[in-house]
Amino acid sequence: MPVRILIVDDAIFMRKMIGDILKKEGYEICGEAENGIEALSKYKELHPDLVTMDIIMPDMSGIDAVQEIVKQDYSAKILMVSAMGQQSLVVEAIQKGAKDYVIKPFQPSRVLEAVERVLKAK
Amino acid sequence: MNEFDISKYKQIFKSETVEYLSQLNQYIIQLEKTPEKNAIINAIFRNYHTIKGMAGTMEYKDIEELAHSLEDLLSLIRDGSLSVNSEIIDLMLRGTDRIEHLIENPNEGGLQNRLLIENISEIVKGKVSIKKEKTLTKRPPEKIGKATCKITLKKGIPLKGARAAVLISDLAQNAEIVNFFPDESSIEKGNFEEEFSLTITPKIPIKKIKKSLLSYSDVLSVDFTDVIGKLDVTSSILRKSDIRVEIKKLNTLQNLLSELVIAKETLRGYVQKDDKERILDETDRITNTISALQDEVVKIRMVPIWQIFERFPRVVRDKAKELEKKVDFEIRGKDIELDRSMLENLAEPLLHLLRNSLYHGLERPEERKRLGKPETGHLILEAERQRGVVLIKVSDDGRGMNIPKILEKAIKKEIVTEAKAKSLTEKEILDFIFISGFSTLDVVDEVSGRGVGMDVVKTRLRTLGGTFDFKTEKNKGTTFILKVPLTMAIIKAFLVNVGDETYAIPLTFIEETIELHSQSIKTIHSKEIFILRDEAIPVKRLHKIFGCRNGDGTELYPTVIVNSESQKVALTTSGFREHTDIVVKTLPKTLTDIKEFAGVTLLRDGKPALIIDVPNIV
Repeated sequence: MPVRILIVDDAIFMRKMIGDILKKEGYEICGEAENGIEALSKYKELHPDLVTMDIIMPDMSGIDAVQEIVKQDYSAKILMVSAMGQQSLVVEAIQKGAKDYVIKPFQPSRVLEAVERVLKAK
Repeated sequence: MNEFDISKYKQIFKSETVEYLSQLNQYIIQLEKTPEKNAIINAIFRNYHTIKGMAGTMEYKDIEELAHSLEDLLSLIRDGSLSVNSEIIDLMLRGTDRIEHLIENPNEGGLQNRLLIENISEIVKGKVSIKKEKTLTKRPPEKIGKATCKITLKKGIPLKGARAAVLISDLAQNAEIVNFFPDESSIEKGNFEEEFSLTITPKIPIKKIKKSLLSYSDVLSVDFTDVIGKLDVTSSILRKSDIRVEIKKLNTLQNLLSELVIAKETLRGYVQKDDKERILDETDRITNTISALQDEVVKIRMVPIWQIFERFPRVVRDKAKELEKKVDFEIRGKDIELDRSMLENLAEPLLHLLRNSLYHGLERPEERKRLGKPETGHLILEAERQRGVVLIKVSDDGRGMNIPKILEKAIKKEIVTEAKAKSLTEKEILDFIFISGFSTLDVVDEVSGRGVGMDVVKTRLRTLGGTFDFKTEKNKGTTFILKVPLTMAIIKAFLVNVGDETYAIPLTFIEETIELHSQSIKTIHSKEIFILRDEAIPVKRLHKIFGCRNGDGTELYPTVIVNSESQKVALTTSGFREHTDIVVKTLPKTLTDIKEFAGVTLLRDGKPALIIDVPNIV
């Protein structure tokens, strides 16, 4: 069974880009969400193996979404997607339970490395 | 990282590894006594681990491999899949010895190393295959104390604070993080160059932690620089030319030296003015400063006696095992300090004595039982400070010296005739053991390669300016007593004149000084004696021994009563001078076969004075 991934980002461009990188490696994109609230409901519904989470989004930020998801599923595997200069936000997300992060603009190899490692972790 | 020259770290590597090995020997022996003690197992593990790491850095492959295989062995013991037996203890001791050998000869691993590693890995593999089947029921490995984990990130990575945060949270899964450097918030803000350090208490093997951290491509390297929990860093063993000196002591030296420099200038001024009184004052001050300086230098040379004592439990254990004897070995007074060259010279005689007690003194368990003694014998090595000297005793509760047997042997060896033997006192009989080559058991010691003679010990002690004696009681045991001056370099001595020359007699040997009338000297069996408080004391006229012409017709001899190994002798002189501190210098090679002298010193007037070797004259 392929690994199922939920992509959360307010930009379609970014969702597409991440999706392509992951699909190419055989991951299944089981769903997409464009803000934190949607991410939360999709997570409950789909139980993905991994979530890629943008930070700055309308309605509910990625950080709050991480907090809520982890509250429900302690073992949730969330990979933050961050722009340069958001260090403190990433740190906050990590402290709230995100496992790792990747930086925009993407280097596909970095994204895959992070995804693999997060999936492998307990 | 590897661009720097590692050869300059060789010396530190050596002395530090020696320190670890010495601890290892102690720990391993403790482990044999208390095989369940986790603290000891962990300590041994840590030491091998640290040695492995250091050797790896030095690129000493043979040491690294060996330490690595020993570490594997220990981790099996630690997680309970291997229980300690004497075979394993031996293997660990052999490994430790081997590493010690390799420190001096790092590239001589060769066949011996491979065999040893194979030996170890047979045990390890045997256990690992069994372990795999029941791996689910295994309890998690124990914590191994604290370690410092230094993480170096690649240069110029974006959001390095975030990377650090991820690494820290990853690490937190496998270890308890005790401390951050720089502090946590600086790390998370990315306020560090490329590296940051964490003090951690690992929950899983360090190797795995390292592997996990290195899986991040932003991470350049992960180093576990140190494993805390080892013994006090300052209490290190020092070998040969190395000496660790407290900064405080060096500062004192520096201060005294500057005082001297100032005094010299002051003195020069007074000399120019020809102010005699001031010159004398200043000279006194200089004298005081110099003696303070002397004290400080002596202090620096002092090292605690445990630095050699700590090697002994291992030796005693091995020897006792070989001889099938049970022994409880106790060390007392190990904090007493002695001059380091003295200490080094004592190691061998003490080893001889300990082995001697194990061989001759202590009985086998069956015999002890029959005699109503506890099966386990008691062997004590103790040091004790007494005015200006240190007493070192080696005592056992064994059978004591066998006087009839010693006498029998002396007759057999034709040291004494049967007729004369009857008139000998116990003490005189016991003194035969000091004769070269005399030993009650005809065993050859495998370490020195020859029969261990008490004469060797006695000679050594004499060259150190010390004395050697013993007490023995049948079935109660034997105590050897070594008395050594605190230092060999500077001793207190009494200066006497013989003819026109001045000689120094070390104060440790002097009982008293008297004036001896020539009429009081009697001749018995062609030997001169005189009676002092009902005791007959042999008289030796120094001017005769030293071949001085004048001195024969004297009525009244200033005489020094010396005592060496409970033997008193009166040494007649031509006059007393004073007692003073002298700096002992060894005699030039061409003169060393003159047995009457232990060395030479320079007197205040610049003239040399020979130092009388009292034990040799007595």
